[in-house]
Formats: sequence, C-alpha cells, structure tokens
Amino acid sequence: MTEPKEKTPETTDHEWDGITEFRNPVPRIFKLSYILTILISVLMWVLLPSWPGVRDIWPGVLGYSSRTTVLEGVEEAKALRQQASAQAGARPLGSILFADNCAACHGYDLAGQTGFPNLIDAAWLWSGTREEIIATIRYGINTDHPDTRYSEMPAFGRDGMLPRAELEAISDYVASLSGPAPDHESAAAVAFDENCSACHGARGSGIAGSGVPVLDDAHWIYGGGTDAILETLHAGRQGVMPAWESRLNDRQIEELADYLIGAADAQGS
Amino acid sequence: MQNAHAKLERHSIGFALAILFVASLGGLVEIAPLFTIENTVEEVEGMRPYTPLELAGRDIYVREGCYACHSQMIRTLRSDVERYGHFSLAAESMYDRPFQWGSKRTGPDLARVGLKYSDAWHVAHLQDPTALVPGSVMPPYAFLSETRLSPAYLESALRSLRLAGDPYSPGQVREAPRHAAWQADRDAQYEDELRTLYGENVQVRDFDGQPERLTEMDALVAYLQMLGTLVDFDALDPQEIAR
Ligand code: HEC
Ligand code: HEC
Ligand code: HEC
Repeated sequence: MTEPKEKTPETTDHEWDGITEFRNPVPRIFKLSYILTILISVLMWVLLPSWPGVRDIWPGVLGYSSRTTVLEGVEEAKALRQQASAQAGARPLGSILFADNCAACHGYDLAGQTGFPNLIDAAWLWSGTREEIIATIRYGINTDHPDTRYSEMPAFGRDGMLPRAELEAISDYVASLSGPAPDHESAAAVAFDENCSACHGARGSGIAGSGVPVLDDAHWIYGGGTDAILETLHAGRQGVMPAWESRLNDRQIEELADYLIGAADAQGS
Repeated sequence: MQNAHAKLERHSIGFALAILFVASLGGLVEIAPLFTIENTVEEVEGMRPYTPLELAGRDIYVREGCYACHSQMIRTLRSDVERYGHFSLAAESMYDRPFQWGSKRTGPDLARVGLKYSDAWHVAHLQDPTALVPGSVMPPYAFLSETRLSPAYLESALRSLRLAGDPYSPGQVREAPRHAAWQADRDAQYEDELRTLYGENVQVRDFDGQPERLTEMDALVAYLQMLGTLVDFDALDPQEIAR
C-alpha cells in the first residue's frame, strides 16, 4: 500500500463550518487560450468592419464587405451557370426557376389549379409564341406594372347587368358548349350572343390571343360545372398573374419561356 | 499576485466598484452602438412607416406566430440572394418594433414576398395551404376570413409608435381606424388621400375577396403584399451601402 501524498494544497483561508476552499490556479492552458482569444478579437476589430464611429463605421484594414462579396458571388454563379447549361444533359434552368417561382400557382406539373391556368394544355389565353409568353411573364396580367396585360370578366350578377334567372340559364348553356349537343337556338344562346360573344367569340369559340378563355373546350380556369360558371357570371373574374420583371432577369425569363414551350410541345405530341 | 483577490475581497467598497466596472463593460458594448444608429442605418428611398391596415396585419402576423416558421431576413449569402432577392437592409426594419427577422425557416423567407403572388393566392393559401401546395405543413388560418378586423385599437397603436419616434402625424393617429378601412376599399375611392398621407407605394384595393367587409384577412394580406416592396433598389448605390 502506498501512503497518500502528504501535500495539502493551499487554501483561501476562508472557512465555513469546517469547509475550506482551495486556491488552485486556473490551468495555464486555459489562461493562455483566454488571453489569446482576447488578442484575436482585437486583431479582428482592426482587420474587419467593426466599431461604429461618430460619422461612419470603422471599415477595417482589409476593406472586407459581406455585401459586396455576395454581389460578386452572384455574378460569378451566373457565369458558371451559363457554362454549365451549355453542357449536354444539363437539367434545364427553366424547370428550377419554375419550381421556385411559379409552381405554387400553376402546379409542379404545370397543369394548373382552380383559378390558375394550365400551361401545357395548348389552350393559350395569350397565344403561345415565345414573345407573347415572355411578355406575359415579364409584365404579368392585371398587375400594377405599366405594361401589364389586362383582362376582366365583368360581374354580370353583382353589378346588376343581368337577372339571376337569366344567368342560370346562360350557365347551363355555357356548360353544355363543351358537351355533345349544345342547343344554339335557346333563349340562353341568344342572350349569350348578345352579352358574351363580343369577348368570347361566337358560341364561345374564343378570339385567339385576346386573353379571353375559349368556352367550348374542356379546359377551364375556374371550373366547368354550372355552379362555378354561375359564380363567374355573378361576381366576375380578374385573375392576377404577377409581373416578374423586377424579380427575374431577362435571361431567366427566356429560360422559363423555353421551358414552358418545351413542356407544352412534349404534352402535345 | 496570488493573494491579490484576498486583498480585494476584504475591501467592500473597492470590491463593489470593481464588480460595477466589469458588469458595465457588457452594457457598454450593447448600448454604445445605439447612439450611432443614425449612420448605421442606410439612407434609402421609399421606406415609410406602416399604414394602419398593414400594421394591423403585422400584429396578426405576430399574434399567430408566423415568425416561428418564417424568417424575414435575406442574409448576405449567395444562396439567400439567389432565391429571395436583394439582401435585407437595416433600413427595411427601421419601423419594426420588434423586428421580425426570425431564426427558423420551416417555410420560406418572407422578407420579399410582397407582390410575388396574387391576393387571391394568399387568401386561398392561408385558408388551406395544402390545397395549393401539396404536402405543405403550414397550418390553415381560414378563420381570418371570418373574423372582422376591429380597427379601433389602431389609434392607440399609432400613438405609441409616434411616442417611440415613428413619424406619424397627429392626424394620421386620429384617423387610423378610418384609414384602415379606406385601404381595403374595393373601389379605391380614397387612394389619392392615402398616397398623399403615406407615400406612392401604398397598395389600395380589396385584399380578401370580400369587398363588403373588413376582415383580419384583409389586414394580413395587405401586410404580406407590401413586404420588401418599399425600398427603391434602382436608386440604391451599392458603394454607399457596402458594409
Ligand atoms: C400568384 C399566382 C401565379 C404565379 C406565382 C404565377 N402565375 Fe402565371 N398566371 C396566373 C394566373 C391567374 C394566370 C391567368 C391570368 C388570367 O386569368 O388571365 C396566369 C397566366 C400565365 C400565363 C399565360 C397563359 C396563357 O394561356 O396565355 C403564363 C405563360 C404564365 N402564367 C406563366 C407563369 C410563369 C412562367 C410563372 C413563374 C415565373 C408564373 N406564371 C407564376 C397566376 C400565377
Ligand atoms: C369584356 C369581355 C367579356 C365579356 C363581355 C364576357 N366575358 Fe367571360 N371572361 C372574360 C375574361 C377576360 C375572362 C377570363 C378572366 C380571368 O382569366 O380571370 C372570362 C372568363 C369567363 C369564364 C370562365 C372560364 C374558365 O375557364 O373558367 C366564363 C364561364 C365566362 N367568362 C362566361 C361568360 C359569359 C357567359 C358571358 C356573357 C354573359 C361573358 N363571359 C362575358 C371576358 C368577358
Ligand atoms: C408550421 C410552420 C408554419 C407556420 C406557423 C406558418 N407557415 Fe407559412 N409556410 C410554411 C411552409 C412549410 C411553407 C411552404 C409550403 C407552402 O407554400 O405552403 C409556407 C409558405 C408560406 C408562404 C408562401 C411563401 C412563398 O414564397 O412561397 C406564405 C406567404 C406564408 N407561408 C405565410 C404565412 C403566414 C402569414 C403565417 C401566419 C399566419 C404562416 N405562414 C405560418 C410553414 C408555416
């Protein structure tokens, strides 16, 4: 058996009911690293932007700015991407941009949702040419942008233009347009001709590129049931497609347009 | 040196002063920069205090705890800037008491969500997020469309902000409840008045699709639609704001 070491450490001289307190110094490694971190922080203050002054902020000897750096990084990434998208087999940028910005409304499959049109059904509201699509994306529809496209379905019921009973009859007629045998001789058909065909074309066949939907096909923005149509006639519709000019640059908008055209073509064939 | 503390501990006044000195260092580092806030916050064009309706929407945002899942702070990181747009400026939070930077992103950052979607989308999404975004874990807030906004409190809300230094005029404070209703007017009858009072970038329309009544949905959507839209970034000199 070895004897316990006889060295009693120094105490602080305080004593509470027989309990005393050692006076062991902090281990040197802790003390050194403590002093070192303080020195490093002083060095950082000197090198990097840190202290606010009376008139300005101390810019730091290195002149580093996270804001300038990130803007440079974004430019760099743009150039890199341009290179990458030229390589064969690259995932089209358009699909990524679409998922980030458009899918919440038009759906990840581009097939639309109630209130937001299907983009791959070949039933274009504003024609499917590249320029037209680019203009739609850039300026939006019914937005505050000065070059916005404008389209509005009037509120025939709410604004008292047609009585309820007539609207119901017209709704049934509109719903039947996409069916096998619409009755074009009925009173509702005459009312449609008087009130609606100026915008929707004769018998709802549409006017290409006007932004007004065709009514005699199976594609609906707001739904083709009589209830949905009646609601459209009663309260009107004015779908808003946001303007992307300030969010996306020209190149991104072109990528998106090409992506949409490609997807619509793939669907059509 | 070994016994220095023993000496200090035996002088109660000296010891108290030493404690005071060390503790005040922490305070100094936090408080001193507040006196230089004038030159820390960038000078930008377009920033203005919230309109009463937007302020009500902001209060609902805080009440419902949207900040628990959404940040409002686009950091100076490439990934942030590429996805959400220009990094946030200090100036953009100058009328936020408290700011809504948040610290967790269960959902996307909302600092620049204004005008990214339509009002109709926001209403439908807040009523039932999964209807528009399959698999979304955001809870539904359909009751906001059913709850009328009680704008009376906005007068005292603006008054306290005025006391805290926000540049509301006494007239703006007094008329706050009425101005809230004006902003959600379908026919935008008072658009010119509101723009004179608050600035050109005020959006005036019916936000919730129910023109006949003023609901909490109106307020929240009005707030969401102005987020990040105020500052005129074309007029901003990157050199000026480099920090
Ligand atoms: C807030 C929801 C919303 C978002 C986000 C959105 N759109 Fe739309 N978009 C609409 C609505 C609504 C319409 C139809 C407008 C109308 O009723 O006339 C539309 C129409 C369009 C059209 C015209 C379709 C046609 O038939 O002519 C194109 C093209 C389009 N969107 C592309 C995009 C792209 C690309 C994006 C993403 C950058 C996008 N949209 C994001 C709501 C949205
Ligand atoms: C001033 C032109 C105009 C007139 C007149 C008009 N419409 Fe429309 N209609 C539109 C526009 C524009 C839209 C698309 C609105 C949108 O996308 O938000 C539309 C949409 C619709 C829709 C929804 C289509 C869908 O895909 O969901 C129906 C149904 C409809 N109109 C029926 C009628 C009927 C019936 C009448 C006559 C009583 C009529 N419209 C008169 C312009 C008009
Ligand atoms: C449990 C977490 C959670 C809470 C609480 C929450 N959200 Fe969300 N939010 C999400 C998620 C996840 C998404 C992404 C999926 C989606 O769009 O629904 C999202 C998306 C959004 C978007 C679309 C953003 C974009 O750019 O696509 C908006 C706007 C939004 N939330 C607003 C709100 C508001 C306002 C509140 C409070 C009333 C709220 N959220 C509360 C999780 C949440």
